[in-house]
Amino acid sequence: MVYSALGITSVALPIWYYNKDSSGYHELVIEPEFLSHIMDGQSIDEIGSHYLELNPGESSETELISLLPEADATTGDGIIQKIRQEIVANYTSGDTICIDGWVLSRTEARQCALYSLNHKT
Amino acid sequence: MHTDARKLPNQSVITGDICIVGAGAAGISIALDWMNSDYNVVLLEGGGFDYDDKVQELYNGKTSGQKYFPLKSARLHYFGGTTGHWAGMCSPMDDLDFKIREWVPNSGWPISKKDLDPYYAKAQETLQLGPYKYDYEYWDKELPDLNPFPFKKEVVWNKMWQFSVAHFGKEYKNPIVKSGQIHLYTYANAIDLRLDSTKKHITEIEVANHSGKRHIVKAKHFIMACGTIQNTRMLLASNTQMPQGIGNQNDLVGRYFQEHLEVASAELWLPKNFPTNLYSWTYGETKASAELAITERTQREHKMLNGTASLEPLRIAKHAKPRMETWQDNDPRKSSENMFANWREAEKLGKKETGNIERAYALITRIEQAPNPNSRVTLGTEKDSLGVPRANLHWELTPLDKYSVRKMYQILGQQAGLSEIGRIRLNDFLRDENDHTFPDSTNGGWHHMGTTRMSDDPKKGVVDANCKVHGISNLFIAGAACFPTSGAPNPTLTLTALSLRLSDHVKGLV
Repeated sequence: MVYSALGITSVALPIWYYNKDSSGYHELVIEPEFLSHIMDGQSIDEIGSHYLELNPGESSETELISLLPEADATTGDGIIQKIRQEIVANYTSGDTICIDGWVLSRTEARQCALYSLNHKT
Repeated sequence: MHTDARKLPNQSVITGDICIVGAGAAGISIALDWMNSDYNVVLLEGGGFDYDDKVQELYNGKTSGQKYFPLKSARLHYFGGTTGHWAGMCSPMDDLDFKIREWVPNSGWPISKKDLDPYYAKAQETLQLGPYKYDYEYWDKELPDLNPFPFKKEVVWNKMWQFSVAHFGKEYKNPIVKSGQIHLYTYANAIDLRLDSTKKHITEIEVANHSGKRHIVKAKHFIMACGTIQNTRMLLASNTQMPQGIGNQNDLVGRYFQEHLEVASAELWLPKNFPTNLYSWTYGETKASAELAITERTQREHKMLNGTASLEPLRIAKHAKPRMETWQDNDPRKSSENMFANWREAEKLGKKETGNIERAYALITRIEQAPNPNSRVTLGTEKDSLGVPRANLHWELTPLDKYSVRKMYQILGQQAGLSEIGRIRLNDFLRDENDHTFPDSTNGGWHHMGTTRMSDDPKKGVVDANCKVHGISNLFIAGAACFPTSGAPNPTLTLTALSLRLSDHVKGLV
């Protein structure tokens, strides 16, 4: 199963990342799966950086992870499905944010922010 | 019948039951409607049957405010008018366009869409279109694989278009020239409208040409059909007996100039191919296609203007220059050539683009302009070669215009997200919500509307619901100048329908 057009899943995440939360998170939590099919990693990184600038209260990975849907599923499919549902729910309720012109759901913007933080480490 | 007014003896007197000034879409539509009547119709055309730069030059004038096309090349000045090179895009206005909308100042027509429906159906024939059917459901049965985007129907709908290839100059020259009822005079430029002593009745129009000839046209009823700016200019310039101009007792003539804002506004990026025949069209081939439109309910909710978004492959659109840049030559033939050359170049470069962009679209806005009294046509100090003051155009947009364009793509962005078809990216000029300006790259559609707006109240409009100039018993305006609001669609279908309705009304008077 290919989860990513970015190849994020093949990125070796630092060990501290997994230690941030005792419940543990699948690496696909930081994967804006839908966006990865229409833009490259650099664009996602830039969106994430701008999201962090606009939302300084969410500038830590711990905070961002706590705001994302709980992703305790053990398979990548489950995580993607759960986040996907949350993204659709965001769009339905109007919980969107405009970054670099992109009309994004709050959830995928946070995923971009997580990606950006991870990308810079 | 046809007479070249340059060949008439100077100071000839031409008479008829009605006189139509201008042989473009409006004037010719009305003339055709009288073809089998018992009345003598005089049809005046300032130019001939082909392009003549000296005649075209009469359209020259100055512009200010929002960047605009050169006035000389914005319309065509010969028999057939601007249908000589139009794209033929036709769609009726929506019910909402005719209503008073409390969030759109100066909105509301004194007629409803139902009043125009029979004439829309008739205009379809004049414009050589298909049936008067503009609902998606009809065309879904007629055409294969339309496959609309799965947006929520309460929010976004598919506004259908049909496409005319009728160039009135070619299509209707012979029927008119051979007609016994219609007498076409070419090279007969109206230069002055004259009133009787009561100043409530037009008695005659003076016409002139570059051969130095001047003639008088007398009729029972006069219909000005020479385009929004020229109709306005003639009313204002006929100021010998009424210093403020004819019909301008309330300082309304020339105000509320409207265009359609046609501007690349956003991008739609799709994660996978979405096969659809619904949102594209090919000139001369496509019977109907759609643009994405915002429902009345959603417009009311967000207090926004009425508009649509069309789709163009982004890989090509990103290389296309704004028409406001390529259409800056005073000669309409050269401007047209520049524009098409750029499109060909964009297509060539677009073929080299690969990757995700192959599934992306540019979203091009087509939206009404909020009626604005400061957006206006006035007379300049300079006169044209026939002695008529030139028109000046001050095109002015408002924060409501900008807000509405931005809101449209925020809504479409939300719909694209929840339907999971893609993501929308607003273009740079829409990203700052505090910026109410439009860039110089903002195109108009060469659509001139609103400067002799329609209202039952003479203090709010120049013409009444029958397009008669308030205070003048026998002077009518045909065309988009009468539109109080401009709707989203290109104006030709609506102005043709309105002209046919006017024609019917005048038949009841003669």
